[in-house]
Amino acid sequence: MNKLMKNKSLILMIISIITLVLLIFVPFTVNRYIYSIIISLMITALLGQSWNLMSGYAGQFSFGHATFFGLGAYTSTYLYTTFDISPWLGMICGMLVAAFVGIIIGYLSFRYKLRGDFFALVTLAFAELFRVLFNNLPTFGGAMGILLKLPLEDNIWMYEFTKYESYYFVILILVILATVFIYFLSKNRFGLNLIAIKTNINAAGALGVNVLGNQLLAMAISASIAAAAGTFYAQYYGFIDPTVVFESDISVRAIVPCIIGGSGTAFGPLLGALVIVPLQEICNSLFEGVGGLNMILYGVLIVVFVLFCPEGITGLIRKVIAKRKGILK
Amino acid sequence: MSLFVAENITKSFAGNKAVDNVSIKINKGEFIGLIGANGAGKTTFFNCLTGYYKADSGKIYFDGKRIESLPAYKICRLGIARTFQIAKPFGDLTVLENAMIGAFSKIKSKSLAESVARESIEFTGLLSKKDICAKELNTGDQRRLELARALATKPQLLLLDEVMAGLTPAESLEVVELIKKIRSSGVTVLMIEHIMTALMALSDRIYVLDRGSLIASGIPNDVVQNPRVISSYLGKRGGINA
Amino acid sequence: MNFQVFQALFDGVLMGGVYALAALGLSLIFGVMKITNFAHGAMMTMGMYVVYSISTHFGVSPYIALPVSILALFIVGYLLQRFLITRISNAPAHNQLLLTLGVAYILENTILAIFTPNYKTLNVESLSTAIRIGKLTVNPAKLIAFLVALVVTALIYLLLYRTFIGKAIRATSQERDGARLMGIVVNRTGAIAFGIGALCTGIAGALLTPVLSIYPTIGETFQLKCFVIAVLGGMGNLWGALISGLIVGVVEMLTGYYLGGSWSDFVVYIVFVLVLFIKPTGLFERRNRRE
Repeated sequence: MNKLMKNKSLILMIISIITLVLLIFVPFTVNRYIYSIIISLMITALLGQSWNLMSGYAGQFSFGHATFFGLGAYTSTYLYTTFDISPWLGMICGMLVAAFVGIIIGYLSFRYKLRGDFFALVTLAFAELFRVLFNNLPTFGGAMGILLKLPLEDNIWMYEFTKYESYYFVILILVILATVFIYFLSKNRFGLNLIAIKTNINAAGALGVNVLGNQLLAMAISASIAAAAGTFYAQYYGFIDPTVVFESDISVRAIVPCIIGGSGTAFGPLLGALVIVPLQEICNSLFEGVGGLNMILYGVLIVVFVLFCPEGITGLIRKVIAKRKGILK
Repeated sequence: MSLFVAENITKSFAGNKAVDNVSIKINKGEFIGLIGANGAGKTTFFNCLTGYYKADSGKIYFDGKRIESLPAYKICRLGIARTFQIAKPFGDLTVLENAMIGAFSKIKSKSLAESVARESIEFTGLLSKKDICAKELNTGDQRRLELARALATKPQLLLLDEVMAGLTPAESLEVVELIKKIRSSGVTVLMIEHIMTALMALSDRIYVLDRGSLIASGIPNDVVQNPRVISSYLGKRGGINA
Repeated sequence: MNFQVFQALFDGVLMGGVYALAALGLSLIFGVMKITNFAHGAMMTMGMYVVYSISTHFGVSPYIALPVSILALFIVGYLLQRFLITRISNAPAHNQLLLTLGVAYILENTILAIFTPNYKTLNVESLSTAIRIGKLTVNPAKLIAFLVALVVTALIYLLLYRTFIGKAIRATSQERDGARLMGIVVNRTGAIAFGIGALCTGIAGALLTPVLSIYPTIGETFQLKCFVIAVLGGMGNLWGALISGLIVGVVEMLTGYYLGGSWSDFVVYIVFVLVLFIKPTGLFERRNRRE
């Protein structure tokens, strides 16, 4: 048994090293178009990872991760364009703001015992609330949003890059950090506690798990990761407005990779993003000129996975492995 | 001084008193039984003691500290563990991980928690199944796991809620043996049952609940002969099979 | 009272009636199936586009196209429940929510693929010229929408309270297992309820078509309003949906009048959040529930 486990982690390590090497060499092999797809894939993966912690592990189904994404984007961008504060610092501030808002939303929801669909509705309501609010606040550019100036030269301290490669490495590092962090958490006390809470909240409490504390912590970390993704989005695309960053499409973009890859597993969101973003691009290029088809595919994938494979690709793999083992026995 | 005291606990739902002015006392090292027919308020009373419900009135002392307003997890961390009438395993986690959740209540270090958890599943006879997902256990083993998790929190007082419910006679016997083992390891136990037999053999003292009120208490032999107990509880069930 | 306030109030009631009908559908679906239908907005959009295309293609009044819209939406709702949602009726609630979300994407983007993202407007002259009643300005299309919405709502209530299938639906929503024991075919009843819920939103969409410029994602804003109204009224409480539909319509118009149109959504969402936290069972919870 133990040998098998060791083998498994060895294989896992080899796979991750190979992937890492491949990822590092990506910039030297691909063109701009592929770049933009890979970066968009990474943003999706990062958002997915954020959702994964709170909804996949802790079991609180959020339909409003756009709130945290948007707060991250706006905090860093506002500080950057108004006070010339480095977006790296802005990112940290954004993460703090998002965590704070997350804790407030979480505290109110958990205190009033909102679960399931009602929690989803609360998170959705907050995202909409922020969207309308930012639309109406002239300080933050109102509905016009904020346009960032185009960087003329590379300045790593100011999150300013002229090349795609640099942005690629930034988001790559963010995704790796988030994944390693979540993997580490999931294998420890915090992760076990979250799974316990998700499975049976009363039993978890009876065994000494501080349910509220753990839920809020999960919410805060999850919100911060989404905020970091928001900052990256703003720096990379150079433009944000309330309808883009607080849109429910962003919230859905956090959910879908987890559903397809498998939520509650550290690598599920990555797998999910790896499947869905390229598929959408392929669909787009196959049916050029007809809008909406890639989103139809999106919908179809959601329906198919929810119906036939609710544990996602990782769940499927696990089942196949379990079957094999069964046959071997 | 008593280890655990509950004074005048009352809890109503929509005007009906599920638990009415119940007081109990447990000394260190004792094994206490709490019996009553289905619907007598046993589980509600239990839930009040463990912070799952907040009692409408009454005081609860554990180790001299007031605990009636504490949330469940704090009560657990003080040293009171409980099991549930319907086993609630964390299905996707392994047996060992299930027990680790309990161990983590007082221990932060993962390796330390793991060894405590391992001890408790060994104690309950589940060590050979430690890497199996809890949802794949049978009912008897799930009940053992329930006990193992509770023991992993290193409780001074263990509250058992109908641990025999839903088990085959053979499984019940095994669980009784296990409970005896727990008792002799020095843990104080409060056990709910509606079957008299098991409690008679195990308990130092017994409390009897009927329709939310305490109607008798004392050593098992006295309680069984108490006319109120016979008429209200045992009589209806066609005699005592102790 | 300022006359413009009265005008705003009047307009609010008109819109509120239509909202109420759409939210009634959402509430019905939740009441019976315990599903928050995230495809509700897309279904409304579908109702709009059915009316739009028939009306422009055959050059007929949008109201003649209404029955087609009703039928189409009933079928979509029925099939969705009967063949997709039933399959996962025992799965966690969020899976059902996701399923409806997936369906929403499919519906919405199919519309986008067919009709392009451009705004479409139905030009019906007789409907767009405002009539004056005293000092009050009345948009005839809105007035018709309100009146038809009221009639349809009344019909739905008659259906639910007077017919066998309606009683079966209500029984299922109150006690699912009990209904099954009584010989009610829960699957089919659920599908019919879903179909009715869908046609409610379809009618609401159809009625709004002459009033608005439509585009493929237009349903999303209305969907959110439906959520607000259904929660405010108590998810599954049909009378609650009607009353809170009117409330939301009026609140929206009044805040629009006092604070400017861009803030009206803000106020509505604030109310939504407060209700979710403080009284998620809605404002009109019935007292006869068992503890």
